[in-house]
Formats: sequence, structure tokens, C-alpha cells
Amino acid sequence: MANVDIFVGNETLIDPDVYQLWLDGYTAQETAQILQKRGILQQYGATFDMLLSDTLDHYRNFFVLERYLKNPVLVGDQLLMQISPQTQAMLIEKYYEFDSSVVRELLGKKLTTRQRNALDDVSDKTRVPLRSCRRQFDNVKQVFKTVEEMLGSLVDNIKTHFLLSDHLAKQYAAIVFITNNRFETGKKRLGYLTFPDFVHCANEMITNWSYSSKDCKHHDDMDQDLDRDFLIDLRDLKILSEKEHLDEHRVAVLKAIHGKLSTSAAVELDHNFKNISKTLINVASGLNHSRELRDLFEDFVDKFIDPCKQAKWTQNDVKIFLQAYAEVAQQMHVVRSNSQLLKVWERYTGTISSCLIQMYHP
Amino acid sequence: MPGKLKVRVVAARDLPVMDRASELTDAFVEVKFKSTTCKTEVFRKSLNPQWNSEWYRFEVDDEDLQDEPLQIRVLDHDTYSAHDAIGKVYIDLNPLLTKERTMVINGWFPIFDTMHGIRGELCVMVKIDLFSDFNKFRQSSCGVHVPQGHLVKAVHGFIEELVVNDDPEYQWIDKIRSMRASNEARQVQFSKLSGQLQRKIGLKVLEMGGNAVIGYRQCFDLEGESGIVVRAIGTSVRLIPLHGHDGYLLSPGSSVRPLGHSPTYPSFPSSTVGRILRGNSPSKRGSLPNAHSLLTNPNLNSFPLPDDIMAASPSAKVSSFSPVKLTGGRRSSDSDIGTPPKGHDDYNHVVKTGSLTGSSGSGGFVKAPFHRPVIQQESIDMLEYPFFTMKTLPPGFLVHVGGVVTARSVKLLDRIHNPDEPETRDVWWTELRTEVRSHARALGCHAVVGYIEHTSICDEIIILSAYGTAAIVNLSMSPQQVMVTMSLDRHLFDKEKEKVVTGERPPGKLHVDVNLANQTNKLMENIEASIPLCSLCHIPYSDSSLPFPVQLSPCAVCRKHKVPDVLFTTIEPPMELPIIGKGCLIQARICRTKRVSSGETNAKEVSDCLPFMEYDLYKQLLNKLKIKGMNSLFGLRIQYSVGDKLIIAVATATGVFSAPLPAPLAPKIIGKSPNANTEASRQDLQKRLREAYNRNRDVYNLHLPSLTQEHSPNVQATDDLDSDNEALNDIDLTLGGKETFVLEIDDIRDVEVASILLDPPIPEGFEVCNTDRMPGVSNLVNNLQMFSRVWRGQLKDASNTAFSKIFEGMFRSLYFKLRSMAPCALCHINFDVDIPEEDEIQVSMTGMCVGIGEPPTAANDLITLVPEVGSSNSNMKTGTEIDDMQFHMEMAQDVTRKEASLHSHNSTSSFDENEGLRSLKVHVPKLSPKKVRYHSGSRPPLGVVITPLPYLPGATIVHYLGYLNFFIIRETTSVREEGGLNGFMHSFLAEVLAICRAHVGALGGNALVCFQMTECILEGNLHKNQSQCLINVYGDVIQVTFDSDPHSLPLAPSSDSVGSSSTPRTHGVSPGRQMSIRKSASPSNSVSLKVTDEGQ
Repeated sequence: MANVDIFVGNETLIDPDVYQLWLDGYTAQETAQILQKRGILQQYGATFDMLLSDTLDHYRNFFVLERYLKNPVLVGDQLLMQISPQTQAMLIEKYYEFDSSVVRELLGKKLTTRQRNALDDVSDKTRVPLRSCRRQFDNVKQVFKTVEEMLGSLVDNIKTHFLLSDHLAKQYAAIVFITNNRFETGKKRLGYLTFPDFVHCANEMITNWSYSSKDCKHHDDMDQDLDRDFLIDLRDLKILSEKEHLDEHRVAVLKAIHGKLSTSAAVELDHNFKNISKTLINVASGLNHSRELRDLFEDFVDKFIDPCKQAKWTQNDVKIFLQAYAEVAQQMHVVRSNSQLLKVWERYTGTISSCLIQMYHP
Repeated sequence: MPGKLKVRVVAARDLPVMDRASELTDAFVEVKFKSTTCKTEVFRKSLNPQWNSEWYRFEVDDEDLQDEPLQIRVLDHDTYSAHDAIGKVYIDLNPLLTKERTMVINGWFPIFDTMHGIRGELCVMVKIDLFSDFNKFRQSSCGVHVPQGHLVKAVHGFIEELVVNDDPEYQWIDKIRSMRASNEARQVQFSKLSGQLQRKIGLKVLEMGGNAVIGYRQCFDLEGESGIVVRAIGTSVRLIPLHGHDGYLLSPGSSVRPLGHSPTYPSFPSSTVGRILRGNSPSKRGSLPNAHSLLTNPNLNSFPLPDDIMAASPSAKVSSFSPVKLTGGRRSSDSDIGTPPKGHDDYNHVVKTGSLTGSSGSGGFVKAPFHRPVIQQESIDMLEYPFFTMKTLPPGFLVHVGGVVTARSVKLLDRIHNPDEPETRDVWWTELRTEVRSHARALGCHAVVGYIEHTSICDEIIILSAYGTAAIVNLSMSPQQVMVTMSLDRHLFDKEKEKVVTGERPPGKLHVDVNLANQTNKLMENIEASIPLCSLCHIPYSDSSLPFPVQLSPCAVCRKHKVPDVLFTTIEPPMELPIIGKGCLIQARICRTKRVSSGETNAKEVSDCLPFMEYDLYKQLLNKLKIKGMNSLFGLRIQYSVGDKLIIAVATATGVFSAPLPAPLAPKIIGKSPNANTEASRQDLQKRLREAYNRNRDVYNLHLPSLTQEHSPNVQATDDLDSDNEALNDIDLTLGGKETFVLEIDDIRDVEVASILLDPPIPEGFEVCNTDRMPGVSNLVNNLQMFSRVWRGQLKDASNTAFSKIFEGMFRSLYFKLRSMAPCALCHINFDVDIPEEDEIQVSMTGMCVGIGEPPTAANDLITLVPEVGSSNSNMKTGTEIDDMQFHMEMAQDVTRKEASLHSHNSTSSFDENEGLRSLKVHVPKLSPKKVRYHSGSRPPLGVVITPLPYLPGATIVHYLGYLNFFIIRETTSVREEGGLNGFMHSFLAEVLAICRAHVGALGGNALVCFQMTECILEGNLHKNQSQCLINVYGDVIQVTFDSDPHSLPLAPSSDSVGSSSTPRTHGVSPGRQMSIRKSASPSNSVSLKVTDEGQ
């Protein structure tokens, strides 16, 4: 019956429940129905029309706000809506929050319009409403486009330009990093890996391998790119797969972990150490080729994780082995005598250990 | 006094993308004042350009400074084609025109485009250097501002002004220019007219010797073809600066009480005056040294801004009037001012006319010889129009309140001879004012307070309304009320005052509804000394010759003077008026159909209809009031709107139970019942009314002190009650001889009418009123939300029931909307109704949601009652002519018991009377609230506060910074894309508020008080995907410090007694010049409307 029915206040008050439902992609009508089921009407003796009108008021505010939320720095500056700083922070944080399942689908893909149009599949698969998928896609794309070309720390850039919490900024950093380096994450074999796994790995790599890592000598390049010098230096690790060093390494490792591994793992290791070690070193030396870099996760799964799984290693086994594998080599003369090599070894093994442990879901 | 205007353009941010290819903008800025334009450089390829321009200088006359807005336009540079407009910023320079302070406007303003809304923000700085001017003959009125509230030294009287100009929308050129150009031309026109008007008002004020205008109200009438009229009314006053050494604050006297008195006077002395001193003397002394800078320190907290007025009208018995008798009320085209009765509206007048006069032409109630006020009020008679536009008056200003006086007339806009000249409209208003004045005289009153003027336009028909509250006022104030007055005739008033005051107005006053928990003991001591001023309610006319049938009874407080049974007013409840319980909003809504016609026929039909509607409105108000168990209305506002087929009217007021007036009795329904069906529904209605009445008395805590015992199991108390009731009834019977409240129901239609009277109950945790303060609720701690709500939709059928449903629905959804804010008080609820299309109604509602703080203790409710009892008690003791000894005794006994209970609760008492304790126990569980989360007011509000109220709870006003008045236009050709009419309107309202906040901030303020939104006109053509909306907003920019803000000025300990304060102010009046004295007081209280057609 009403053609116009609006409510505007001097202060824009946000109902977190309605906001969440809006973010989840429900229409005003659906939101009102959900709220109705939650018993809000009985609680306040209202009719559904009132609830709907109230919801629509909120939705209109969100509609206007969304323009600013796309560029969160404006949320604080804009004069149109008076919102408390705490609420502003909440609005931004929630707006940029995402469903791991949705983002997992987007990982490593080119963020094109075509991709955006194909979100229906993502929506079907994840059971997240399409509208919400679109928002998440747009957010990822927006963050990516904004920080893509920026110098300095990726996480800090995201925090400055999107005013996000540390936690969320790190997740976005991981997404940007993976997308930027076009890591392969979509292969079927990688399907079991969750979004947090990738976040962990990406952040490890950003911390230790990128231009912003503490070991990087010149920090003037972009964070999301890997330290090229380091990748080239990784080739020097090949020396460890030479027979004499490989044997020395094997003996030392077996000694160090004696009695700590589960039986099956110990047997496997005894037979296969050389293969395993060679694989890891090969991966390292290949990383300066962008193709192989892209396949990093696949290589890990193919060449390390799957064999270990077949040998029924526990996660603890993996942990103990990798720890020993890294530490023992540092004591070897060939590494110790070459400080450059030692550093590269530490930088490499520290990161992959952490990644592999995270990625190892027995 | 010429001056130099300096403008600097600093930067912009968040500009829209104007070049699709680069997704960037090449922006530059044009600064235009009058005909001079300056431009900045083009800042290429940025959405956040930084110009840091030089200072652009404009050498200008100050007349222009007042009339012309500074226009700043942001454009996108385009090498090959015309530059694209991004948007504009208009800056009103008037707030800068104070000589005393160097003020700067500096801040970010939303860049507003009438076609796209806000598009980014612009940072500018504006300064004005005024050269001193020794020429006394001024063209301009620099330095006179038009604030809406402050502290007053002298009242000079009513001022009005009216300017007219073409509406650019109706110029021929509008056919060929773009929508944007047309809208901008209009906005500039609005701004210029507003500036001109304020300058003219300022000149008049200076001429009268004043230095400020209070109760200023500026209205735009969009007459269409015949132009734009901007008119203003206000009250010219002289303000004094609030300096520590100034006479006002320091002078000893009753109006400014020493802080020690605060227990009895909790509202103003401690919190307000104290705050003023604190707030101003240390920090502001340097800045506002001159009395000329009038408005600098209005403590709005203490002096609610007079935006409205109060009017009181004693009403007659409902049963005594019937609309049929009103037939003679209307006369068309009677323009004879000499025989005044053209107005029709006062409720009283309606009644009078109905019952006493057959034809208004003969002068209303000529047969009832009215009495001039006993005392010659020469000074006030010297004023041409003894009108005061303030709705809150200083204590002691009002002596008696007569009733609402109204005049309305219907005119045809297309019959104006010289549409470009203001004369015709001046004449119209003069007629109305004259009529209002004569109505007031007929009521034995010499002044009208809370005076309002209002128009309603529908095509070529305009309804002009003028109304206010007839009253006897005391312009000189009593001697002990310090404010030195400028008035020459002070002794006259003193004489009058003596008469009035002697023996009846004790020096002390009591604000009953104030929250006194902390000072209970002191309160008890003080109660004896302080007695409420009940004289306000005493009739100003002689009881031997009533101007209209009214039922009189002795004042329940002093029992010496006569009071009417009901009082209607347009002012805020005076602070000194003792009230019982809480107040609530009362609204009457009337909807009638009319035939479609045009021109004179139409005007005649409308004016024929108005008296009946007015009558219905008052009847509905009165009945609703009685069902609420209350007896007086404050803040009455009436609005009419005419459509093609409909006329609607809405009257909104706040009902209160005033202690001096008799308590209304429970409703009774009488009437013949032609058949059983009707009879049953009648009985049912009777039952429901009865229930509502009883429930309301509980909800609003309206029980007389003795009646509160009703709930006590104590047998003796019940006995008391009975005897009390008997006593009361006896009195009523002896006076009236009949039931006071009877509804006559003869047929089904009446049943329907009556059922409208039953308002749906207000949910718990909400209090609603349309006054600035919530009567009976004093612990308001913080502003929660200023809201505006616009509803537009179909009216199902043109019945009062359907029409009422719309409002009820709006209220209910408002409660739902604000559910998280309870407990809260919705104050200053204001309605604006319109009929934009056939069958379509638009209702705009604005108001303020204020948080209610913790009631001090459970005993508090008792305390609020005790003063009533105590005062009446002490009054009775001192009184000499008490006939009804039995009643007196009962009351006294009751009081003792109450006191006892109170003391025992405070555990300091030596009374341990069982009875007292028991009654306390009975009360506590009933009063103690269930788990209610009260507001603490500890969080200072966010950003810029906008409020329709003149005060901010929990805050101190430090500076008055200026008056803002914007008329903003927004149009769109993509309604659907913007979310339909709802989305369009919603974002426009948000934009308007944002623009207001930006201007407040740029002036250095942090709050906009007395904010009003009027003229919300929405036109849409959805088929063309097009819509246009106009909104007029105004308010006073102030700077406040919040008590809860650690950075604010240190506050005295007493300041936490929340903001229910009113300032004591004294007024003196010096009528600046001799005015035509109208002794020929014609008794002009007839109901009549006039159709003037200019063509004849």
C-alpha cells in the first residue's frame, strides 16, 4: 500500500544481524522471513510489514554504503552517513570476510569477468548464494588490483588500503600472492587442500622467500614476487644430491631420528631417503623456472606427500623427519663451510617443512 | 559597511570518475560571489585533487554578504567541449558576519549536484574582513542574527517580514534550459530570498532596539505561477552576554536562584546557570565581550528554543456543542477588518459560535460581554501585535493562560493583482493577525504567546492559518525576578502582578516532575516553602461573564480561583506548572471528501468545510485527552492539507494532567439505542473506553496522591479513597451539575467515531510527546537518534478510521524500528501531512529519541507525587477560605503518611509508622522496573548531533554559531536505478543531513539544534523514470561540551542532574515605538472563513 516508506536517522545505526544476512546475499524479503523465523516479531509484537520496512531501510543504507566499502578508506572520510568508528571497522571487516570454500574455488584463477560470470558453479558447489559469491569475487579482485603494483609489504599495503584486521589481511595477502604467482591449486590431486592450508603456505613463502623477507638483500621490489636471487641460489642446493653428500646426509638423518618414527615410516625412509631428498632438492632447483614454481604444490603432493601417505606416515613422522632433514644438513661440512649455501638451505627447508606439515593430511 | 570576502579552495576527495577512459577526472573549481567569478587551476587526472589555491578576494557590500550565497562549483575540464559539472557547494555567509569574533568557515563540504546527489567532498576556507562602519544609517543589519534560543534581557515584540520573487521553475526560460540549470537557478533564488529576508528582519530588530530574534520561524511558500514567498516571524529581543560580571547572572533574585536552592528547583539553577558560568566565563570571556553578539551563549539547555508556542484554551463541555449550530460560521469574501470575526478556529470559538451566535457576522459571541483585562496593560497595548513566537517562556512571564486563538482564511493565488509585490500577502496576514488579536481580547487576554503562522497550498488555493495561545503576560517581571527590564511601563505590570500574585503566588516555585532522588531530604524541607504556581491556569476572564460556555471549578491547588476543566495550549508546559504523572502524545486526525472543483467554487467549498473539521478536531482531541485521564494539552499544532478530492487535518499535542485543573472523570456513553445491535456495540465501547481510561491512569501514573492508595491492601486507605472521591465528586456536582465527560452515541457512525478515540497502547519503554521535554520524565540522559520518516501511500477510503490507521501504523513501526533504544522518550514528534496526488497521502514525521536514564530509586515515584501533595497541603493550610474541611483533613493525613513512608525508605527517619512502611512496601514492587537497561549517557555522541530539540541532554552549550536554512533540490532521471522512490528519497534525506552536518562542522560547531525539516515535496513520474524532491531544513548551529566527555570543561558536581532544566529568565519589554492602539476590541470569536477573490 505504501509507495514511499523510509526512515532516516542522523546516526546510521547498523543491525549486525541484518548486515550479515545482506552480506550472505539474501534479498530483503528473504532476510525478513529469516528474522521472522527467529521470533523477532513476537518479541516486539510487530507485523511482518514492519519488519520488512525496517529491513528495507537497512538494505538501502547498505546499498549506499557499499560504494564506500569498495574503497574502505572512504568509509571514514565520507560525510553521508554518520557511523561510529567501531561500527565502521565492523562493517569493513565483515564486508571483506569470505567463505573459505568459495575463495578456495577462486584460488589461482585469473580474476576475469568471465570467471565472475561462471560463479554460478561455485555457488552451486559451495551452497553459498550467488550474490555473496559475487561480492567475494569482487573483493578479491579489488584487493588484488589495488595492491598488485604496490611496493612494500603486502600485508601492510592491504591493511592500509582496506583497513582490515591483521588476520584477514594475511588471508588476502595469501590470495594475492597465489594469484599473482599463478600457483596451480585447482588440480584434482590438490582438491583435498583447504584454503587455510594455502594461506599458511603462502604466508610462509611471503615471509621467507619474497622480496620482503628478512633475508632479501634489496627490498625495493614488490612483495608478492619471490626473491629472484634466492630462487637462483636454490640451484646451488643440487650439490646435496651428489652421491657422497647424499649418503652422508642419509646416515646423519637416520641416526638423528632413530627410534622416533613409527615403524612403517622408518622402514620406508630407510629405503627411500635418497629419492625423497632428491625430490625436495629438485623442486628447489627448479623454482627459478616460473613453470615449475607454479606447480610447486602439485610437486609437493605428487612427490612427497602422496608417497608418504602410501607409506602410512603420520603427521608427526613428517614433522620429525623434516626437522631432522633440515638440521642435520647444516652440520655437514659442505653446507657449513659455505655460509651462502647454509642460508639458502635454511630459507628453503624452513619454509617447505612448515608447508609440508600443514599440507599433510594423513 | 563594506567587507572583504576571502575564499581559498584547498582540495577535493572522492570525486566521481568523469573520464571513462582513464577512470580519472581533471577537476577545477569556480568560486562565484554575486557576479564575480574566480577559477582554480585544472588539477589533472586525479580523483583527489589538491589545489591549495591562493586566497580569492571579493570586495563587497555587506548587504550582498547577507543576501548572496557564496557559490562554489566543481567542474571537469574538457578541452574540446563544454566542461562537465560535477557539483556545487553553497555557503551562507551570514554566520560570519559577527564583528566580535573572527570566525572562519573551514571544512569539508559535500559537493552536491541536483541531478546526482553528493559527488565527493570539497575542502574550502572562507573568511570575511569587515571594515568598521560609522554610518548610523545602515542599509544592512550585520550582526543581528536570527537564533532560536538564548538568554533574554528585554522583549521588544513581534516582528514579521515577507519577500516575494519569481519562481525560476515557472519562468519561460525554464522550457529551454536543462533540469540542472533550472534546479540551480531555483536553489540560488531560495538562498537569496532567505538572505534578503533575514537582512530585513535584522533591520527591523535594530530599529526596535533589539539585538536578536528569538522564536524565529522562516517559511517558504511555493505558490507556483505567482512566485515564491519567503516569510518569517519572530520576537525581537535584547540579549545580554553571559558574563560572570553581568548583572543577569549575578543579580540576586528569584529567577536566578542560588545553587543552594536546587533541591526545590532542580531543573534550572544548578545545572543550567551553573553551567553557563562554567562554560562561558573561563573560556569565552574574550570572545564574546559585546552585548551585540547576541547569540553567542544561549544556554539552550536552560532555555528551550522557542520554536513553537503554547496556547491554552479552556474548553467547554463536549456535550454542549453540536456541529449543526455552526452553520452560520462561514462567510465568503467578507474582508471587513472592522468586524473582526472571520476566523473560526479556536476551539473555544467554535464552541462559542455554535452555541451563542447564529451568525459570525455579528461578531461571534457579542452577547457575552467580554471583559478587558483588569489591569490596563498599556505597554503591551502599544504593540501593534502583542504576539510572542516563543513556545517556552521564562518563569513568571505568563500570568494567566486563556485559550487557543486561531484565524484561518482561504485565498486564491491566481487572483493576486501584483504577484511580484508582497503587498497582497501582507494584507492577508494583517487580516489574520488582527483577527487573532481580537480573539485574544475576547478571552480577556492582552497577548498571544506561542504564535504560529502556517500555510497550505494546493494548486491555486492557499489556506493561511495563524494561531497561538491567548494569555496575560507579565512583561516586566516581578521585582525579585532580577532581569532588569527595559520597559518603561514596568510599574503597570507590577501593579497587575501584585494583584495577581498577592496571596496566591508564593515566591517559590516547584517543578514537580523533576527527579530528586539525591536530595530527598532536602526536598522535604523545601516543600513547605515552595508552592506551585497555579495561577497560570486560572481563568483570565471574569467568571460572571464567560466568553463561551465553560465549566469552571475551583483551582485544585489554591482552591481560591476558578479554573476551566480543560486547558488547550500551543506552548511548552510552563516549568512552574505543577503536573501529575507523565504526559503523552495526543493526536486528532480528520479526513473529509470534497467535490472536485476549481477556482472560487473550490475555495468556497474548502472554507465551508474548515469550521466543521476544526470542530471535529477539537472534539477528538478533547475526548482522547479525557480517555487518557488528562486535562490539558500543550504544544498544539494543527495542519490542514487540501487535495482535489480530500481535505485532511491533523492536530498533534501533548496531554498532561495539570494539578490545578479538576481530574477528568471516567468516560460515559449515553445515547438512544434504536436496536439491540447498536446497543451491544455501545455497551462494548463503553467497556473498552472504561478500560482504556483506567489503564491510562495507571500507565501515566495519573492517580491523585490519595488515589494511589487504591492499590494498597490497607483497608483504611481504601476508606480514604472513597471519601476523597466522594468529596471530589461533590465538588464537581455542585459546580457542573452533570457528568463532565459524556459521549453521545446515536448511531453506528458515532460508534466508529468513538472507536477512533481508542489509541493503541504504547509499548513499554517508550514515552511519546511533541513538546521539547517529556512532561513527567526528567531523567533524560542522552540523545539516541534523530529520525525522519516519510510515508506515502494510498488512503484506502476517505474515512477518519482509515486515515488514523496510517498514523497508528507509522507509530507502531517507529516503535519497532527503535526497539533497541527502549527505554526512551520520543520528543518533539512533528508531523507534516500532504496530499501529493489524488487518493495519495504523504506523512512526514520527525522527532528525537532520547534515552531515559535510571530512575534514581524506587521511591522516586513517590517523591514526584509528594510535592503535589505537599504543596496543596501547605497551600491549604495557608489558605483561609477552605470550605471543605473534610477533604482538607484527608489530604493532610494522607500527606503525613506519604512523608513517613518516604523518610523510612531513606532510613534516616524517626518515623516508623507501620502504615507508612506498609504503603511503601506496596509501592516498591509495583514501581520497581523489570530488568530494564537504562541509558547511562556516558558515551558522548558521535560527530555532529542534529536534534529538533533546543537542548542536548547531558551537554552544555558553549557557543551559538549561527542559523542555517537550506532549501535543497534533488532530481533524477533514473529513479529505478536508484532504488525506486524509496531509494531516491532515502538517499536524498541522508544527503540533506550530511550537508547540514558539514556546515555545522565547518563553522566550528558540533550540534544543530531546533532542527526542522519542512516542505518535503516529492514529485515523481515513474513512467518517465523521473522524480524531483525539495526539502527545506533549518536549525541553529551550536558548540556544546558533553558532560561525559573527559576532554570537556570541568563540570560542577551538580551537573549530573540530567538536562531537564529550564532557565530562569526575565524579560523586560520596551515597546520600541508607539503603535496604533486598538481599543475597539471587538469580540471576534466567530467561526468564519473568508474567501477573498482578488478579481472582484
